Amino acid sequence: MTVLEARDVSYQYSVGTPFQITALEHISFSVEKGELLAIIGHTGSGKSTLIQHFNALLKPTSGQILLYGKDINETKETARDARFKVGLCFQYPEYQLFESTVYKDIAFGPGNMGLSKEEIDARVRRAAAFVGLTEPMLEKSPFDLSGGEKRRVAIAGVMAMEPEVLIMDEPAAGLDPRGRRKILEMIENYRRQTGSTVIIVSHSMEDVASLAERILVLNHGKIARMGTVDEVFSHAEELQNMGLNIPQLTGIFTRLNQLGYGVNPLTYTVEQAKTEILRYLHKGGAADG
Amino acid sequence: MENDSLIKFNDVSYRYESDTDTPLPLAIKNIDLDIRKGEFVAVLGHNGSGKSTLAKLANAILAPESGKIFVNGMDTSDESLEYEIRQTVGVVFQNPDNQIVATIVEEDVAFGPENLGIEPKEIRRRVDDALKSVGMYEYRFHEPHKLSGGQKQRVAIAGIMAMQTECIILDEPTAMLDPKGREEVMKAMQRLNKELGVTIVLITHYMDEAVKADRVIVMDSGRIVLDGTPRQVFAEEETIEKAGLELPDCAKLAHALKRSGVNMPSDILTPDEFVEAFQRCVSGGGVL
Repeated sequence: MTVLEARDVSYQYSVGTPFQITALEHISFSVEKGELLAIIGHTGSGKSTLIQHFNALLKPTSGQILLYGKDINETKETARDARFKVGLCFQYPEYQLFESTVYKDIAFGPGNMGLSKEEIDARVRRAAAFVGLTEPMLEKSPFDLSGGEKRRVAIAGVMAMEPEVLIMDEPAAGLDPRGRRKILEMIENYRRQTGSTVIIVSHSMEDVASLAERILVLNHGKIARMGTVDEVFSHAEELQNMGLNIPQLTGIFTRLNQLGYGVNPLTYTVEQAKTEILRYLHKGGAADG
Repeated sequence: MENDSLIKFNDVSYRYESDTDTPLPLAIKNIDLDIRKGEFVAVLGHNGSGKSTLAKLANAILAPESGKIFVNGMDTSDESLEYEIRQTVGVVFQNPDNQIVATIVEEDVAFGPENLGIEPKEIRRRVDDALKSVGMYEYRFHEPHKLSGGQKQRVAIAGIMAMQTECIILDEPTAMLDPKGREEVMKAMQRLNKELGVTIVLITHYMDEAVKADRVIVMDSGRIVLDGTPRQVFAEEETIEKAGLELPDCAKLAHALKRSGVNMPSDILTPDEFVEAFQRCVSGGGVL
């Protein structure tokens, strides 16, 4: 079932000034229920502009954003509804923490939704559990936490609104490898357990390859490609020309494949890569090398 | 050689001030470190390991609780030397929004050299060069606040480049950049280092960037746990993982294959090295 759809969306910044910039041009695509879609594109390609359209923070200059088939910009009420159903987590969301305790910060979003106290409490605890925050941490000041913990508090704040679509802009940026892996596992668990649709924007081709089902590639405000991970990463040169890349291991396996070794070029993770090389060596691949 | 030393830490410890009566633990513990002129040093460590504190100490933003730091022989605890120390060591921080001061890109880049009293013609040249080397020249008349995060970061880097400090410390400058932006910034840093002899200290979470440095330092809980060439440091898989870090994927794969009995060397750092080693391995029969 289609949850979100962009129908011929174009957007211009600073219309009527010398700085008028077309940020998005004729964008059309749809996102299915429960899907994990990744959006990649060079800096300035329009990724952040695009996702701000999905919860009516920006209104298309032309075209429509549909949530369950209904235009979210039709009335004030539909826009407000979209803001609750589509949760948007910005880059470096920890800079937006402001409450005196972690609990209050997570409760801020659901608190605006007109829910009962009990419901808010239940949501805060559920969201905290998703991101691995313990009970004693809820009473701490968010400013006494480490960078990675703050990030998780901020994400929990969006999850607590229990949006049907969770959109995250660079959720792992600036984290060390372990923090990075934790955040990504957390997102995957959240999606599996709630059945929510998740859209992530990322510059890490490795993260995208290991997490996403489909990838949308933006280039200068236009859709350059949309498809499965394999479809997108089989176009290495095209991606590189757009300022992007393929994961490091995919690069290695593409090279090996070109050199005549019978390995699958579309290999992404260390685990897959190990299995693939062992398979190749065991079937006596030494002969065709 | 002693006079080759640019930044020298002698048994330095530092702790941040606490809001309560209980003092915070030391953020930096008894660090001895000597960064020599012309080096390209990468500093790795998990979030909270003390990397950024190290940068702030080297730039005299923070003064050590105990021990001494010398920048070109100047004691960073001596406040009268602050100005001269910051003209020697410039810092580019993680978040460019806190570093941009002007309303036009090229004015922002000119801000530093203007304050150093450099003549206008020279400023013009430096600003143009710096913007070109970070790939932002065509945006020189744009408003910085309308740029994307990655573009802003490149403007901030150009601002420090234009001051031509002897040393630039970059605190995760590429965290917000796309692959091409990262590569451009990395190339700009390498060019500054190799062609102009600028000493570079790069704090990063990207292992593939650290691999390109002359020297890699790994921090864990306020201490230096590894210090050596990339090859020496990344051979210590266990210490690296204990410090909350990971090897580059190609190195991880080589180690995993070796453990499964495949004849691969354990000191692979780059995709090229992996491909070569794999070819040698296959022609030699593959399995140990």
